[in-house]
Amino acid sequence: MNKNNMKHIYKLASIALLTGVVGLFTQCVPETTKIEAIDTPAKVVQPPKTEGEMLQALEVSSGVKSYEETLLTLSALTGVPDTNGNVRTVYNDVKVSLPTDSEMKSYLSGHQVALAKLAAEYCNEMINDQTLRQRVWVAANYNLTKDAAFVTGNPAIREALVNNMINVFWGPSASEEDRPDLKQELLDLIDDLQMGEVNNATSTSNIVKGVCTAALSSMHVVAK
Amino acid sequence: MKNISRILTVSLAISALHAHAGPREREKAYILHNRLTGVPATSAVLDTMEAAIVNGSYEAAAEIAIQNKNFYNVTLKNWVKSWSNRDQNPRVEFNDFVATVVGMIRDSSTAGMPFDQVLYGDILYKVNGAGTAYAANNNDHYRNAENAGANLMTDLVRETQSANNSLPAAATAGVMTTRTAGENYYQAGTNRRMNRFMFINFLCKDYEELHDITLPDGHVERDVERNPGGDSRTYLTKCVGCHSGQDAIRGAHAYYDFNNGAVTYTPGQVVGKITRVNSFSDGKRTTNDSWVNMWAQGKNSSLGWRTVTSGNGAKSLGRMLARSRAFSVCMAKRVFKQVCIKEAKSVADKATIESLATSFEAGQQYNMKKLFVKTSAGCVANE
Repeated sequence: MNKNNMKHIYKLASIALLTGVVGLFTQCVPETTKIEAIDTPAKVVQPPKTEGEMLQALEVSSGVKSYEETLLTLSALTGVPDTNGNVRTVYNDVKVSLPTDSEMKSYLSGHQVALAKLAAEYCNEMINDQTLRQRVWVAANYNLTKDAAFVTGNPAIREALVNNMINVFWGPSASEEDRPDLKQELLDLIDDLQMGEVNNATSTSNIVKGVCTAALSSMHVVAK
Repeated sequence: MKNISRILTVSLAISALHAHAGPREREKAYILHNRLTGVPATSAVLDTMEAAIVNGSYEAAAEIAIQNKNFYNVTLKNWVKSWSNRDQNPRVEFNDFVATVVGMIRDSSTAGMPFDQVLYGDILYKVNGAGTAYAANNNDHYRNAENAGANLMTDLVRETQSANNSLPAAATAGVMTTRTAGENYYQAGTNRRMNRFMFINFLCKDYEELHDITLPDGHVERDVERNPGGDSRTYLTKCVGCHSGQDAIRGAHAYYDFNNGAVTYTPGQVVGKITRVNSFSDGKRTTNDSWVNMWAQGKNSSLGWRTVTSGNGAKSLGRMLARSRAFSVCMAKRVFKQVCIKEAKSVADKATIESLATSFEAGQQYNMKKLFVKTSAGCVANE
């Protein structure tokens, strides 16, 4: 399967997932479809293929990690043991919502939300641990306020943080040609997460956890 | 909530940019390790795998990957779990069926331990350091071993069922006579379920696929109605298609049952549930554990039966199944699906399956580890 097809699949899947996520947060109730009676035979028109049909028709040679693979993968990347009590508590809550098998076409918005919850807990434990957080966060920046750490005048800190996340969490799964775009997404997220936050070190830590969660819950981590 | 939504959105946006890049060796090594173990490789392991691929050997790289315990603890364990229960659900407890299959795969590269014994050997794998002793009538030993994080690469110990259960060695038949198989496939019912699930799990054939109404119905048992719904045509065009074959081999399990949490074996005495229902007195009545493979004739001869096609007991039946061509092809298909993440549908993929099956059964070695290595290496190299 060529690379363009793969990208197409991921884009379609992402659109579907985004739609699902929006649904989850707005509690939308779908309208009931009305079926009109037809008195006369209508000309048979082949309906356009739905997004789901297009996805099913594509051949996929890439999969997603199952629940236990996800647990151990996040552990390997963050250094937080999979036996950590807080991680286990969240894992036990979301385990049933993580994928059972590697079928990419069955990956749903609910899987992504469960993955994000588990990733958030791993990131929380990692960033709160003075040793483990050094994997992605330079020690000199721990106690900086968010403005000191992330304002435009200090791009080196933001760059280092994002680069470390990409290298440690994604490694070879993030291609060189895609890295600039990926990096920009995470840099933009840092800017967005600063808005409305108090200018102190706690906010800085929370922003780092947020970026960590986004990076750790991406397809680069759970695809196989 | 605003921030959570934003984080989720970014994680999805960057997922959309995910695509495996070109044929670069390190990326290939990364994929290969993830496929085989479910977890990313450490930098050091990735270095050695990358070097092996640069030197032209994806198989050498795969050999390195399966040194990771998660090949056994995660990939194999969850792969086999769905074979051990009626619902084909991988979200079940670790058990003796799974432990035995995983252990046999681990040892299948050792001379004298071919994987085909999975259906006829007197074999049982237990777990060192499980904290709870093995018992033939409950799953505590295996459940506790999993909860304690047992290392299935090093902690599985090969023993015999006959030394641990009440079964005589001649009555053991690989995973068919494990406690978990008994609980799922011997419990209640009429003991037809055992063979059906062995066909599904190890020959990749459900009975519907074997349907053949051209076979004589002399082995169809008395509990099968000859005129269901008042119409004998239903029997002749539907029922007989499966029962002529499956009832002829059911006798192999005539002395087995599942009682009080354990597999029971009553030599010379057919278990009552097999003969209890009598819908047609002139039908066959099981009186011993003999069996005959009616599918050795007709369209299902294509499954490639190579050994004797009749016998007594589950062990000889299991040997016939495991020595069939269908067994080798099925194992190749299952491994292909697991590590290539797709069904073998194209002409090229089907040819690959045949080639892998031939290599797997060559010299009756049935080396499952080698099958995983060859299959994964071939897939990742060609993606």
